[in-house]
Amino acid sequence: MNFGAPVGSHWIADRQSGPLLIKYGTETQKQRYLPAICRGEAFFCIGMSEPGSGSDLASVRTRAVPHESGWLLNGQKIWTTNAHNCHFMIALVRTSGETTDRHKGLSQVIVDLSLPGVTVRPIVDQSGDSHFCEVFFDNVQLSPDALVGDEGGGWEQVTAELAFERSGPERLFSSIALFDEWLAYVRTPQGRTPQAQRLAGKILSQLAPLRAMSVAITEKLTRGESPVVEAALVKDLGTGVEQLIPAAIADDLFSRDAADVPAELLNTLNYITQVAPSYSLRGGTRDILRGMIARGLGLR
Amino acid sequence: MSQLDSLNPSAIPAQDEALRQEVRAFLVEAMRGVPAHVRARSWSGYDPEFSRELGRRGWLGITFPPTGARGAARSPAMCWSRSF
Repeated sequence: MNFGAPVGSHWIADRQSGPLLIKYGTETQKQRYLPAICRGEAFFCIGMSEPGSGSDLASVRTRAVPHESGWLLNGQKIWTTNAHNCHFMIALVRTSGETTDRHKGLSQVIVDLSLPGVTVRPIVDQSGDSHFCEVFFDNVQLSPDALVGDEGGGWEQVTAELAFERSGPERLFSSIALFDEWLAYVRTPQGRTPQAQRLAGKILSQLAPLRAMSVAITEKLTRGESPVVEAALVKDLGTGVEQLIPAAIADDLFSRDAADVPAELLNTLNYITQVAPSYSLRGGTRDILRGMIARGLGLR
Repeated sequence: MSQLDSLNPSAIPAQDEALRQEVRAFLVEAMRGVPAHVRARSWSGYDPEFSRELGRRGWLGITFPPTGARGAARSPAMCWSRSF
């Protein structure tokens, strides 16, 4: 991400789905998926949010029922990142009970997105990209080994998985290409101003401790721990800086003579400004994270 | 007790720092000339061929245990540092 490399194809399998399968998958599942993930030939997406069930994941309604020795899947996911370019989804679904049973009766299943009955529809966002998708399941027949981990264990598994999602570099570095491009401009005689230098220092002084926290959490994950509250802290603070970068840089650039500002810097600012609101929604909203942090502190 | 007591300062191990230089050199070359507004997309940027190239270099699943899934076992700290 520091170099702006196009990492989206493999990122989620590498960060999240692979580690999930290592922790909860059967030997057969590991042998089937892990080597393909390592070759960059199996791309995964994560089916969590549904219409009417975003932050409140326990209310998911997509359902898998036992059928012909496997599972029959019906329902819909939304805001699924990159589904249209992926081979597999790991979906959180209800395998027993009703939505009123909340966390009970949820499970995780692997869905081969090429199966009959799966429809993936990209959603065009305001930047003109299609990053998110809607995914529909209409009587999709899953094999018996589609289940990941324990039936009914989906909630615990998803909670542990989100620690991987919330503490990595993608929660600090989403605006870094803009910051670098702006820094390059501030380093020129034309771009250098005392205000810009102070702003650069302010942003760097926030990024450095966040990086240290993120590395510390990685070490805990490495040891097999689930630092859920710590990861929520890093994501909340990290997305704050990621959103500060485009806002503060916009203030700086638009206080200058427009003719002095490089066009490519403005292009980059435009894109980041359009996507920045999503930083504090994806992977757990700011409100959800702060609730978790408060619980971790014993405040609720 | 503070919640942050559980976050102990940690560092990227020396052998992983070495690999980081290797990855960095590759990325400098791979991203040369790519404009900033494209680089800004990064993990919203999808390029299967780029991902397969990382796979060929052994840089995907770098945190996975060597259970026959892949040859080289690297320190899981790479999970983080590879991106830098």
